[in-house]
Order: sequence, then C-alpha cells, then structure tokens
Amino acid sequence: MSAVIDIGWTQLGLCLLFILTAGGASIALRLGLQRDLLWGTVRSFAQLFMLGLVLKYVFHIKLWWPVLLIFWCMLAFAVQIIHGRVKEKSVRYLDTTFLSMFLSFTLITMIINGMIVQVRPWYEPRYFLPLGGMVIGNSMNAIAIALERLFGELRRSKDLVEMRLTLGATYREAAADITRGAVKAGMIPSINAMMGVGMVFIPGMMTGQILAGADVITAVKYQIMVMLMLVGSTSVGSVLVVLLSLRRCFTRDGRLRL
Amino acid sequence: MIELRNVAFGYTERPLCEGIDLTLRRGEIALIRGRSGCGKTSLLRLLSRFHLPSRGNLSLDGRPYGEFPCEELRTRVVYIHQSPVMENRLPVLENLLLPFSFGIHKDKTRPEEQELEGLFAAFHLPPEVLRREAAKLSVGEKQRVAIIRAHLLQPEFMLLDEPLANLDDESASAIREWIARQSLANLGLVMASHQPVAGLPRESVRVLEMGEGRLRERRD
Repeated sequence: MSAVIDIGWTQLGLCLLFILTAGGASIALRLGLQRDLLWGTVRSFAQLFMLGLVLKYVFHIKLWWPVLLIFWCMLAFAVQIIHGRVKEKSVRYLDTTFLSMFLSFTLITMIINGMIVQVRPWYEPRYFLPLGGMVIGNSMNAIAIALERLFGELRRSKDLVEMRLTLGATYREAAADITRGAVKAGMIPSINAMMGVGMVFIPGMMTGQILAGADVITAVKYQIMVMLMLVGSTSVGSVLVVLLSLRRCFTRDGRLRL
Repeated sequence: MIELRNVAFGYTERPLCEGIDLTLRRGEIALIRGRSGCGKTSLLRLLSRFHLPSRGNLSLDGRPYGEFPCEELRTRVVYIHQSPVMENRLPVLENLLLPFSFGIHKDKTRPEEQELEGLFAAFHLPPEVLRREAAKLSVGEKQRVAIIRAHLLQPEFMLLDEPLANLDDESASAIREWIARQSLANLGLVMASHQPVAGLPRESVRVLEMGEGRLRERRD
C-alpha cells in the first residue's frame, strides 16, 4: 500500500473555490446564504483543527478521563444543536434528549468496542472517539427529526388527540400513531442510507480508511459494521427520546401542553 | 353527582367567571346560556378536566377531581366538542368502536351492529352511515355520531358544547328528541348554548345564565 498523499496548505486553500461558487450562486439568486457560508467555513476550519489538536494530545496520553471528557463535550454540543433546531418552547426536552443520546451511545459503543472490534482498553481513543462521533452525529439527526415530528404532529392533530382523551384514552393511547410516526421518521434516514451505500455513494469512513492505506476488505467490514451500528443507535435514540419526551407533552392530569 | 364549590376559572389573572357553587345530578338536564366568549366552553372543559380552576374545588360523588385517574374521570364525564372530531379516514363503525381499544374500556362488551342500528334509528340516521367514511359525514351527522359514540361508553354525565349550532333541521330535531328523553334516563346532561334552545321540555331543563363573571340559576 502506498502512503497517504498529504494535502498542501495552498491546495487546501484552493478548496475555498467551492465556497466561492456557492457564495456566487447565493448572491446571484439572492438566497441570502453568504453569511452562513462564511461562518460555516470559518467554523469548519477552526473546529476541525481544534479537534485535530485535541485528538493528537489524547491519542498520546492514553488516559480514560480525557476521552470521556471529550465524549461528554460532544454529547453536550449535540444536545445544544438539537435544542436550537427543534425550537419547542412549551415542553422541556433537554434532559430527555441528553439521556436518550447518552444511553444509545453507551449501549452501542459498548457492544461495538467490547464485542465486535474488541478494543483493549475499552476507551482506546483511536476507536472510541471516531466511532462515538459517528453514533452521536447520526443519533443527533435522528433525534432532532423524531422530536420535530412528534411536536409538530401533536400540534397539528391537537383536536384528534384531545378527542381520544375525552373518550378515556391514556396519553400514550391518544398519541400512539403520532409516536409511531415520530420514531419511524427518526429511523428512516439510517435505513435509507443502507440502501444507497456502495451504490450511490462511498461512505466517508470507508473512503478515509482506503485513503489511509487500509485493506479494502477491512474497510468494507468496518463500513458494514458502521452502517448497522448507526441503524441501532438511531433506533435506540429515536425510541427513547420519543417515549421520554411524549410524557412531557402532557400534564399529570392528561392535558396536552402544546 | 358533580359539585363545584367556590370555583373560579380563566386564562389570565382576572377570572372569566368566579364564585360558582353548583351541583349537577344524574338524570338532570342543565343548560348553560350566555353570549359567545363568556366562558361556557371553559366551564365544560373544567368539568372534563381539560382546564383547571384557578380557585375552588370540583368533586364527583364526593371525591375530589384531582384524586381520579383522568381516564376514569373522562369516561364518567364525557365531553363532546362543538365540532366533533372523528378519525376521518376510518368508517363510522370503526370510529364508534375506537374507545373500546383503550385500556379503560377493554373489558366492556363491544356493541353489536344490531344495537348500533337501533341507536342510529333513534337519531334518524340510516344504517348505511355505519359503513361510510367519517370524512364524508355532514356536520349534523357527525354531531349525532359523536353523541352515539359517547353514549356507548355509558357515562354518568355528558357535556355537550353547542350541540344544536349550525345543524340542519333533521339533525337538530333528532338531537332534541334524544335530549328530552334523557330526563327519564340516568344520564346527567350539561349543555352550553349561546342561543335559546327551543323544543325542550321546560320543566325538566335547568337553565343557568353565565355573564359578567358569574353563573346564576334562572328560576322562572
């Protein structure tokens, strides 16, 4: 296998042409995305370089607590991003989101690190953090979609839910179809990703491994594991967040808060 | 028996209505009258626990409302919305049987189709309506189906919000006839209406006027 070809700083700077293209389109079509494009680019550079520095340090020291500290920061940021995206004011869901992400992450990474990849020690940052990052990133999207669907549908179907409550339904019975729809909405993207993988796109992790000189079949095995792991984590995350947050959408005496 | 003692309710710090002392009994028809926005619907929602009082107590058969599991309370005191809501994609029959899929009604016997047809006839509804998609019902048909659906749960009280508003003559007279019969049954009826309700037996209807933040019984 040949060594990885490094990207020079000038070459990396050339990538900004893509942003200029997008900015040009935004100006020409008056999309008003210039500010977001600029801020997004600055953040991408800053965040990824910062991550690189931190990883370099963490990979070096091989202690469990900095690994967990990074993991908690990732988790907290993900929850913050979900909170910014969902924008529901009547229901408290920050803690249920955090708990769902934490449980789905812990369960899936324990299985992956302990039983499948069999990493020793379990916190080996080279595995724990990238795999965990993928789980958190995907769970974050799934949870945001599931919550948006849950709150949106409850608001849209308020009369229907209340009608069921008037006839003696519990809050779970009254919102059963909405709960199912929300969990499904959270799970579908990762299931769809399994359909297109390898046919429509070559996933980032596999590309990265191949570029880094890994054996293609090893990269394939890792990628399959990742795809299945993401289905697992988005399922656990969506189910947990919907069930835990649903309770919050109703008062103790069975009134809809939304 | 539902009792309200010194009840006040509203949506702001200033109550919409206050000082309500009221006893509602089974077999009694109570008509709450008042102009739009005076709080009639809120009072019905209060009675079915979809709204909470800002002051005072409500009890059912001497037991405070707060001690009931809300499913039990709402099965005994059923609220029917002014524009009844149905599962529009489902046929009427499935709409009628929907509550029997809820845990609290699981042990109740599901009504036979013959019984339903009898009830439909009493409400001037042809039996074929049972198979019709709920979305295709008229407002009057929906109102009647909603009353039948609630009736099947054998509640102790039924709360009807403007049951005769915007209805065609046939629907209105079918509901009026049914209401009149309830004074002989053991069902307590509480109705809210912003207009006088004609055609009900005066002697069996208790009229309560709501206005200027108070609820007063009319005795004439």
